[in-house]
Amino acid sequence: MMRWISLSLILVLHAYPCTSQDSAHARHVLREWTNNGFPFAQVLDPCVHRDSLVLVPGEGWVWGTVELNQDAQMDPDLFARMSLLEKGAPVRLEDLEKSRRHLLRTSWFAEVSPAKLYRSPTRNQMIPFFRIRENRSGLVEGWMSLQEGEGFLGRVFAQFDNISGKGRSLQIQAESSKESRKAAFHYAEPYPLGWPFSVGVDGSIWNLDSTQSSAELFLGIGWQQNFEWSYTIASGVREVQSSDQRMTTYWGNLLIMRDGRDRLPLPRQGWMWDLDVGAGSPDSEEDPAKAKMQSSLAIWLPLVNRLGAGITLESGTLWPRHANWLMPELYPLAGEVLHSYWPGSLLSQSFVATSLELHWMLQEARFFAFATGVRAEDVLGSWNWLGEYGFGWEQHGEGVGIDLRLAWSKKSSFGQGLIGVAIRTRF
Amino acid sequence: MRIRGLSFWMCFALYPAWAEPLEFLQLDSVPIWNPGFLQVTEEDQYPVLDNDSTPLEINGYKSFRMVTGADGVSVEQNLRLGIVGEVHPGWFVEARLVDEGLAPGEVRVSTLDQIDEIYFRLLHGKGRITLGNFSFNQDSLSLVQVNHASMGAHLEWLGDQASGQWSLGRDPVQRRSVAFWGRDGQQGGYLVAPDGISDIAVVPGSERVYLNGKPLQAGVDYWLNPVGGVLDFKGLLLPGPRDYIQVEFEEHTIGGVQQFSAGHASYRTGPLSLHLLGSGSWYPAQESDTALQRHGQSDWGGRIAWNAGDLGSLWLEAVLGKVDSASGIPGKAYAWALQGDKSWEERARGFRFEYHGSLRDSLFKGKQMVQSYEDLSRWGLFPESLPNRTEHQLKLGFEFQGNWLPWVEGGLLGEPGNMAYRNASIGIDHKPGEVLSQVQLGILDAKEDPVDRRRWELVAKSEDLEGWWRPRSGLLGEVSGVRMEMHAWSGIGYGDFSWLTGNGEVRGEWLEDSAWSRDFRHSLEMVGKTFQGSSLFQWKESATALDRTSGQSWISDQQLHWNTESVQSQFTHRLGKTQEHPLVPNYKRVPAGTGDILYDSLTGNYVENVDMGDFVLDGYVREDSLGDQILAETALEWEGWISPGSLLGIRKGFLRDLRLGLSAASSVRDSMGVHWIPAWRTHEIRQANDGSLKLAGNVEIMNQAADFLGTLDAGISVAKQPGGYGQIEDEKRQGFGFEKGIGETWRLEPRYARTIFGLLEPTPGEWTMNEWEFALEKEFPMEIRIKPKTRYRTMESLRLWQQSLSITKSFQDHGEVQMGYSLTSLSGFRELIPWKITEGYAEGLSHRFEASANYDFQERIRLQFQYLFRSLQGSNSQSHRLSGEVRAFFQ
Repeated sequence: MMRWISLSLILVLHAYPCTSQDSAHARHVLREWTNNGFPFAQVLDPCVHRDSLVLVPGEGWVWGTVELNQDAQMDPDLFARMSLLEKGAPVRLEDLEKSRRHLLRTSWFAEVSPAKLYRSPTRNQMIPFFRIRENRSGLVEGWMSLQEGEGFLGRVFAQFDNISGKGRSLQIQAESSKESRKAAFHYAEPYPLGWPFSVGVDGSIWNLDSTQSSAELFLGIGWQQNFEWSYTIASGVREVQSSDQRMTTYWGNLLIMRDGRDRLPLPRQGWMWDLDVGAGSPDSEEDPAKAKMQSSLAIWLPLVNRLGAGITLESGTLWPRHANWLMPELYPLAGEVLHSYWPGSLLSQSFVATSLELHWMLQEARFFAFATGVRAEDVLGSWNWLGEYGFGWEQHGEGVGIDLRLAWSKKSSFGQGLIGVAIRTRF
Repeated sequence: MRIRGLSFWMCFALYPAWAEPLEFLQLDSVPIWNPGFLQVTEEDQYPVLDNDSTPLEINGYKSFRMVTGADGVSVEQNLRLGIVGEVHPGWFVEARLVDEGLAPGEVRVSTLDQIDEIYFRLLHGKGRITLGNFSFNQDSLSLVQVNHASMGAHLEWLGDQASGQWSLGRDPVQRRSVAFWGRDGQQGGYLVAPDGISDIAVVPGSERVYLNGKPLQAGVDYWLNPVGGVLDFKGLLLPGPRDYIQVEFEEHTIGGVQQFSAGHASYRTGPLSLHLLGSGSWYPAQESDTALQRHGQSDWGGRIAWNAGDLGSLWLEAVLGKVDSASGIPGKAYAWALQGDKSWEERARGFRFEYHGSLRDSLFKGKQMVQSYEDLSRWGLFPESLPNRTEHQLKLGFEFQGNWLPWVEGGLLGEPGNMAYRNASIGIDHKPGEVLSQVQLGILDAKEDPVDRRRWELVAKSEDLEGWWRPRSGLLGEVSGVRMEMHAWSGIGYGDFSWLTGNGEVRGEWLEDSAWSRDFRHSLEMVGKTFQGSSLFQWKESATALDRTSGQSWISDQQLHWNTESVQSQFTHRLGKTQEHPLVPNYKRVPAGTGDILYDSLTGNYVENVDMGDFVLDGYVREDSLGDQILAETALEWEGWISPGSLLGIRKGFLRDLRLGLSAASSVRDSMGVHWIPAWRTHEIRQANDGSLKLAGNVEIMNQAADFLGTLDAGISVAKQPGGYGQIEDEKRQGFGFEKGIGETWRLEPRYARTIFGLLEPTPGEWTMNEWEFALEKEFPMEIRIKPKTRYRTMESLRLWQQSLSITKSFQDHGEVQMGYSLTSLSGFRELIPWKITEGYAEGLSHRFEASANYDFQERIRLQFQYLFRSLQGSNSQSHRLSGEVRAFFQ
């Protein structure tokens, strides 16, 4: 009631309000302080002292331990570390939302609530409390048969994320058909031995028709600089054997990534950029050094209501041009960039792709329509325009994830449109 | 707090531009931490990011099935996915995807043409949009109707006054229409292929069937098997040679994709209503080059109707139809009608009036099933015998007091300027109380080349409309030139109770040249608390003009089910002709050892459910090797159980526990003539085309208190297989055994059986087999059961001795795991012993291990798994078979 009275008095007494510039300046100053350890800072009326702003900073505060709900499987220490809200560091209020988005981008959590703040009873420590709901993380798919003569036939794919809440992830894939065999694994451990890095190991063996085979092993170290920026250095060895020769190449890779999307999967806003450059040693004097570079940019914009847009730019290239690249080294465009071609049908040495998408976003699902244009160099060295359009639906529930996409290429007739369905049932 | 208070007063007194200081966070709003906050209470609902929409509901499953056998592996994936939900307030989505038999892989990819079913539908208010599979149905115009299922886009709006729909699609189907006459004594087995013999694939649900111009209802009046296109009439419909059957349907074609587009709009305001309809179908040029019989067709039409209440109603219709877009000139057709407000069936005094006419030119190729039947019955014309035509028909009547309704009717038909066909009738209807009587006299005059045709017709009939006993009779006389026909019939409707309805009719026909026929038909349906039955019977005798010999035909179908506590009985008897197009199983050869069906070359038979089969069942196909044969079928089935104790009210002793069962079945189909009495001797079966005879008796003694169940059974059977196999076998069997529970956990199951197999075709032989079996079952805690079993089988010198042990573990509500091992010794084997007796075991000692599991995981995933290992000692013959299915449900 009092407030109403005073407000009505303002209008009567002051025919001229303070300028918006004054107000913006005050907010700016206040933001500086609240994001530098003084969360309770106040600015008194800026209209009084145009030259000297009256600021009441309050006491200095630091972050306490990040807490999360007790029924979560997630390891609380790891969670606190991953939130990047470092204990003892000055409080920065704007980091709370950044941290929440950063946690949502791991795709381990179905939901992370906005942080609720508490005070330590004894010290000037601020305790952020997140309530999370975790996704089911186990996925096993496949079939296999073991037979005399034929040996192993089939396909196995297993993926475990955030194993027992410790952040470890493991992925195993094995495929065997009469034409080719392939086995791959990936393992990642966050902050091993308390180091500020994450470590990952990748390995694969691939065998085609017993005429070509390759094996590779890569070790990577990743560092998360802040909420958005992360860097990974990887190094590995790849051995390729064809009918008459054997090549061993040592590779070094650098991956830089800036990720500001609000959540994963189903991002609604923010942008993401990454750059992956790699160099491979020459195997022999005839064989030159190799290099590859790949980069992508994706921007997600909310438009009106639930309608949003997504713009993606992607490109990749391999040096030296027109070398004899092996199948697994080439970029598989079909199935990854272009969905209107049978998976595995388009392999390219260099490509530039751009895609525009409009989507209608729901809580756990989205409907989308897309158009993609690609300029790609095929294995024979000629550049082609490829284009496609289509629509789809994606939904991620507690135990099931569905991605359904219907796409037509520039040349295909209506009935030749490809329907791609990926369904993952997690436990 | 202090500062806040101060600033507030400062603002109020001096500078109240801000009522309060600018701050992002207040100290008071941050509570002091307490570890108790970590406890989750019920009030702490998970935060919902976006709570103004309900999540989309997903349902369906994906399944993955794999079988590995001796020589290969077969893998199959199925997907069935549906979603439904509100995506925005007032906007609903419904979608479905069905794709079966996919190649394996994590990401499933298939083209639109290959997919089984896909559609996406968006609904909002009165409108809806469908992308994918849709059906366009529109029957509002009498000259052209569109009923078509296709794939593409479909838009629909259903308003109160205005409604409309539009669609664009493509589909590999072709529209067909056929007409044929019925046959005496044949209710089923009519082929709808245009040539009358081919095996075609009908699009399910696309058909429209008319009997004498009257549309029939699918499932109630008829059943059309889409595999092969076989039409069976049901219930009381017994088409004869004077009944005209018309079928319109869509046929699946191979190659050649038809494009289809149609639109319809209607508007209604007050007494006026308007309909506009356009539809077209065409083939892309390069595809029609290879299939010349295909052509495009398009129709545009409109209808305007005015319903003026007491004054009557009026409608006009105009249609332009173009067949084969190359010719360029559309055919035209018009139809109109004017009628009074009272219908001819209504009982009210006053004037009745009806006039309708039509005009169509020779280029118009509209499909009108009703019209072509009217041409036949009213004018004696076959469809399209008068391509360029005009027709007028007028009927007037006035109902007087006493329910007399005299009427006159006249009509003209012919080419413009030459109305060669004329008809006139006069009649009177009398409807006092519940009886309807009609007398009418009509003449048809046709100027035809080379001889004019004149036909006089007199009809007199009377019918009781209500009551449990409704007699009716009638007479129809027809004189056309020197030809004279008389039809007389008399019938009764009976029953009309809640539990009984029926009809009976006697009909006689006297045609020219001493040809005649007499016909008796009856039908009855009854439904009671303990019983349920139906009876259908037709007997017809007719003589043709040529040789004057008479022939008889029968249709009979009697069914009775009787279920009480003490008696359970089922009785079925069938008699009739059918045009036989048996559906025979189609066995697909799979990698050896992965199937479950084996071919036994000795008996010429496919044996199902075997360990290491070479075949699997791949649907059924129509057997055409027998040709277009009409077979007479006679079948009788009876099955009954009687409990004398319950029947006689005995509460104690042996009789209380006794239950007696008897079943008998005889079925024979023969092209040589009707078996009036169901076959009951084996030689009758042997001589027929195919058939079987089975007789079995059972005695059961069940005492729950003593935990005892004893069974005694004996039976004989003879069977002859249809089709090319021509196998004849018989079997005589006697057996007895019991099950006895001992204590809470033990169970004893001994059993003996003696079986005599006989094989007549293709390899004659007889085998007598004795079998003893003894099993023990012990139940352990944790739902574990162990069952050792021994089995001994002899046949002449052959000895089969099997010891087995099975262990079962059940998981409450989740499933069970079972493992079994058996050791089988076979000796005294000689050539020519059917697979049934040796069960596929070879001479020597065989090991067989079987493990199976089925388990429901988190109510979302169902696992089924089976492993089989079999080996013969002393040889290298070993086989494995592993099969598994994983089905993931989403909800």
